[in-house]
Amino acid sequence: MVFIIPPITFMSMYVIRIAFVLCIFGVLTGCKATYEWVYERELPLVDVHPIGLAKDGEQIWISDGQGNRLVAVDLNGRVLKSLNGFERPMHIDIAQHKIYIPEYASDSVRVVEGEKIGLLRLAENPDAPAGVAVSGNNWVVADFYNHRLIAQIDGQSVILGKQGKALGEFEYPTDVQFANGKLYIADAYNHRGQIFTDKGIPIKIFGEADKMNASTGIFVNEREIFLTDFEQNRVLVYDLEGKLKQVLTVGLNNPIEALAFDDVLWIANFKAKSISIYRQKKRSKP
Amino acid sequence: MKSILFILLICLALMPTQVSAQAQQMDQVSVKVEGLGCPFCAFGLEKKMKTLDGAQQIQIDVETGMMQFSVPMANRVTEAQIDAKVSDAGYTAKHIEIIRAEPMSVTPRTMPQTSTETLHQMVEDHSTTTQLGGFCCQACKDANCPGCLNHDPKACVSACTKCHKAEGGCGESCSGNCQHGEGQTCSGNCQHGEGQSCCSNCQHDEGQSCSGNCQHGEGQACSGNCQHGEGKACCSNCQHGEGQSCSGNCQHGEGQGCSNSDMGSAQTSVSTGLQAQSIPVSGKCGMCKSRIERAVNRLEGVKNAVYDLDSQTLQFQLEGSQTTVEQVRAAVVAAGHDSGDIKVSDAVYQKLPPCCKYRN
Repeated sequence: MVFIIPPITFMSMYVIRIAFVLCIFGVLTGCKATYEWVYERELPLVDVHPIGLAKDGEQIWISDGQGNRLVAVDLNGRVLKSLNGFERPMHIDIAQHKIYIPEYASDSVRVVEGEKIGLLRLAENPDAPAGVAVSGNNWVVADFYNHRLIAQIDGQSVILGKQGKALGEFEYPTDVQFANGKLYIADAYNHRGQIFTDKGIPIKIFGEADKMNASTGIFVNEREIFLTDFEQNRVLVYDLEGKLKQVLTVGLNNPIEALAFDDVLWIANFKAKSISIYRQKKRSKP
Repeated sequence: MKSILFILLICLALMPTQVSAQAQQMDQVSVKVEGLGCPFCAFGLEKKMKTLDGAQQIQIDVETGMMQFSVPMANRVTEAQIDAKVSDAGYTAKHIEIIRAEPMSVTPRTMPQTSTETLHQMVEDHSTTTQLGGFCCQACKDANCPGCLNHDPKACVSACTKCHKAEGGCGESCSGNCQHGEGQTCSGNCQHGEGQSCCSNCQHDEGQSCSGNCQHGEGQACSGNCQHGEGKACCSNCQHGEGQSCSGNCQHGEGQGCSNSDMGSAQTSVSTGLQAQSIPVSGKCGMCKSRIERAVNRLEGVKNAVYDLDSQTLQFQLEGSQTTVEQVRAAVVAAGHDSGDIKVSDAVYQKLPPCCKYRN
């Protein structure tokens, strides 16, 4: 016994040492558990052509462009209420319980707060506002036919971009979002995304090599960027630097918007009139 | 005096009601738009139609491509105006129907008028499959209708309604504008009445029958007018299914392989009376396809223009020498689509809807 125990202890120490070294190496090299999005189910939306998604507490607002309304559903997809009478509501946003609704047909952005409905004052007239993003006192509107963004940043009205393909230029922008101190733009018919600072300075183009056909919707959380590839029934998942991580294809039919919260991803399918639900899971292989 | 005053007051009270009732008399317009796929284009068309004088309550259904709106009856909006507006916006109207409001009535008519609109529908449908005579009937030509002379179907219908009525709108008995010969009758596979035999103007020879891949009935053999040579395998550009064998006159020529060749310029093969042609055309979506085919099918002497998005190729047949391949290419370019080395001007290209922007 005395002879046997020392080698086991000796081996155990080696195992512990190796594990410790691997752990330190993993931390130093950034190695960590990886996750992927896995299709879970489809949530049919009766008679709703979804375009925009925005979360407010335990309910999600969906803009129904065809039905000229907003529909609130719970996290299981049950319809809670609807607001009617909008003129082609597109990519909405919610900030401080106010819903911001760009109306493609009326060239205005409506603001709904409780029972009150107002208008966002824009310095210039948009032609078909397709998306809006709000962060504090700053906001930005995707001005579709003018190929630009109309914004208010630090109390100043500014116009961002013009038609073109260079950094900071757009071809029919459709969706915008503030996140992580930056502004993210779905540059739809340049088939790519763009990243600006939250002050409106262009930083980066991404997704150009991924052969999208109409990148119509964008959503960003603290880890990833989701960009919808409308015509090719895909959602492309990028890291915050714009490096492609995953391509989602299962259960998608003209995806037009994404919304991630907790470990769940909602993708609005415009033509299928449904929501595809994905869940984040540990990658089975490294 | 009091009674006169009373009557005047009554008249005054009633007059505004009558005026407003007349003002409310609206023609109801339905337009079927081809190829609409995304909400940005569909709702964009809605916006552009607002510039049509008096157009109100414009609604488009993305799923069906049906656009509906109303226009004051007094405007007497025509199909040609609506078609031009839709085309200017970069879209293609397949069907246009106007239900005219009943004069002096607040309630619109529930049945369409059997006049210009319905007639135009028939002519328009016809124009997609036949291109003889610039869409006009012989009676129109005989009457020297300006529209016929210009080979403009819209102008023809507007100017020559009576002629078309007299002709029966290319009905059961055919005129010179139909696929069939003057006075000929047709089979169930044709545009004409059931149970009647095909004539020499049809795509198939007299008495021939066809396969399921053809324009003719299922399970029947193809005739000598098919795109591919006898026993050749078909490609996706052809009328037959991929890998199917073909008969007769192939577009690629007898003894040649039927493949999706990369055509930098027009390809030609000659069949009985018709020249099968193929040209490269740039396009991106269903709306592009509709626009390209319509632009070419309008041309005199052009038959069966079909655009294939995958191969970026337009195939058609030329009859006679009225139209050349170069004229077809010019029509395609005028519609906003590059054809090989012939490029669309930036100004024309920019008019295309977002979905149709094919240049990367």
